[in-house]
Amino acid sequence: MAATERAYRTIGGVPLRYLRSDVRVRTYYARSTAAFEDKLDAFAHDLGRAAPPSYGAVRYIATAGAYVNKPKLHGLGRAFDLDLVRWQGRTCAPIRGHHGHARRAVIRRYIGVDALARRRFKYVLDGWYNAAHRDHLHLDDGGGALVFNAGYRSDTVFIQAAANVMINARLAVDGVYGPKTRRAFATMKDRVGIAHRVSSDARLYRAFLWRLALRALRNKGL
Amino acid sequence: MNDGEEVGVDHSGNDRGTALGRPVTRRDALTRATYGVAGLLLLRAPGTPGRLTPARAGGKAGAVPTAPTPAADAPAVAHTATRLPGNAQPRGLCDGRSGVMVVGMTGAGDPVSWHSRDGRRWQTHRLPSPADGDAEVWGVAAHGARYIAVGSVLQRRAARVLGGRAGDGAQGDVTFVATHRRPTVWWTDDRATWTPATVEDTTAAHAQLIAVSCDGSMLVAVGSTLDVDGVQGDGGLILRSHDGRTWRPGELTSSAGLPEGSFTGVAAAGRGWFATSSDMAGGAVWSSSDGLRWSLLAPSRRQFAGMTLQGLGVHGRDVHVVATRLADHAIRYYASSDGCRTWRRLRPRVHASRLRAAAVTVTDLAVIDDDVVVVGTRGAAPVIEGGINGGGH
Repeated sequence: MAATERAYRTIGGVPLRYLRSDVRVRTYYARSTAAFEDKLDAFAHDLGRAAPPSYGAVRYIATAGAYVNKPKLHGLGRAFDLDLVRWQGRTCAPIRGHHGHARRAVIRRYIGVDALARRRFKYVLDGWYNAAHRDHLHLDDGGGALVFNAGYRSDTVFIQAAANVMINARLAVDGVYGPKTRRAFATMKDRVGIAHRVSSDARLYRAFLWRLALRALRNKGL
Repeated sequence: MNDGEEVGVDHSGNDRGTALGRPVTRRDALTRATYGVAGLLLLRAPGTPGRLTPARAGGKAGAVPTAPTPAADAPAVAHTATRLPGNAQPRGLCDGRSGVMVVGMTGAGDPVSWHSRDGRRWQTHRLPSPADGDAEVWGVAAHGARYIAVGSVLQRRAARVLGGRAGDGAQGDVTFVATHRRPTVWWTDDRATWTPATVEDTTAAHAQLIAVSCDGSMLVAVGSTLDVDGVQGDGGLILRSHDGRTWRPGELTSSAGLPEGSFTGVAAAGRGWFATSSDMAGGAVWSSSDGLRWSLLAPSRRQFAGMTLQGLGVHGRDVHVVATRLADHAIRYYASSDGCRTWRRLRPRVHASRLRAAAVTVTDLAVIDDDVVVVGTRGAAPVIEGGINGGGH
């Protein structure tokens, strides 16, 4: 399994773009393992399927890199930095700090994309995770089973941020899975009709994320 | 492994080209170089004959692999390539008294080494993991008669049971295994048997070593600390040692934040040291007079914006680096003769391959005698490659 065994310009039929070199939007030529490309394909399909009709089709996805010749998962061809998703009628732009946007609808859109990514990749590092990810979402599949793990900061900050914008939980987004976060998470699961075994049942966790994304992309709370 | 001039393309009709659907390069056309024989790109200073010479100082500035079977009137280090045995990915190389050592990882996650005395016949060996972890090896240097490799080990020692507190109601206990990534060194005296040891001299929960170099007596290893989940690098890590067993942390006098990054290379340079780093924004070069206190060379941030730097080597007053552009994966070689203040791009005459479609990577660079040598992959094949520097000098 070579880190660069696949090379491609689209994922799920959606063109890849690179925004970081200058003001122009450039075609991006990604490389990764075949298995990771399959996950990206599925993620791109999800972005199209989960979005309401008002968004239109996904026009392009901007990335800061998939295979990157440096240590950790990027160097293994198993990571992807997401800068922007452009539908015909909407944009979710981690590169512009949309996780901290003034409009709740924009933050919910970010939560929706974040949730869809977590259905395919164990490690999703977002704008709440640390300062390094204020301008992109990092996706990789190096973390094992696709279940919620309260021991991972990356999982906990996402649930805290989602609870704040979806059920107005007013949690501190600190990555600490305490009683308030636990209650807020339980409330969200109840409201989307998902049993609580999201820490041990990947199917249930993915179903929770899907239903969360559907609501968030439509700017509707839980 | 540089981005050569493309003279023809194997059109597959598939917009998602694969490693197999690579372009035909000018070099292919001229030399009929086969897929597995594309290897060693030596950027050799003009007028300097290559030769097999014992290492003088060890580490990344030392002695030399010979070219395979040079003709009588050909340079001793030819523009040919060597495919390394097996299918592991080489990650680091150095030269020593006993020849060239390369380290890398197999697809199954096993650390391996390749060793050769003559640049033609290579012997592979496995580096063992410490008892309770999964090892990753990244860099290697010669230290006297010994070789020192560096990397990390992912330890899964601690476990905790969260039970209902994990948001699972009363559905029973859930066990999570806490992991810690520890810097690790291996050493060998016989080039075959490696002894591992984790480095406990860092306070970070997760840290890794990526490169190591030796100035003849002192070792400097560089890498990164990782974020709280151990997913990505977030800060620089420098360690110094005189014996390879006890390590002292270095100091970074300027901001060491390396988002999704790490130090990626280090080399001794006369009375000082240089190191490379790569992060989300691109590459940078650092310097130190003693291997302990390190400063960012600010102009390098602009020079290498949008690139990752894979490694560096020092040849006299010249510092050589290999870079990969983030946007299109094009490989670039640069050299500096003024202490890394300004850089000139090297354009090797040897056009080995067209990177963008051929899935070629370069993972490390070292100056071996008077040549610049790189290791990497072409497709899935590990290669060590050398050639001459056509336009840089």
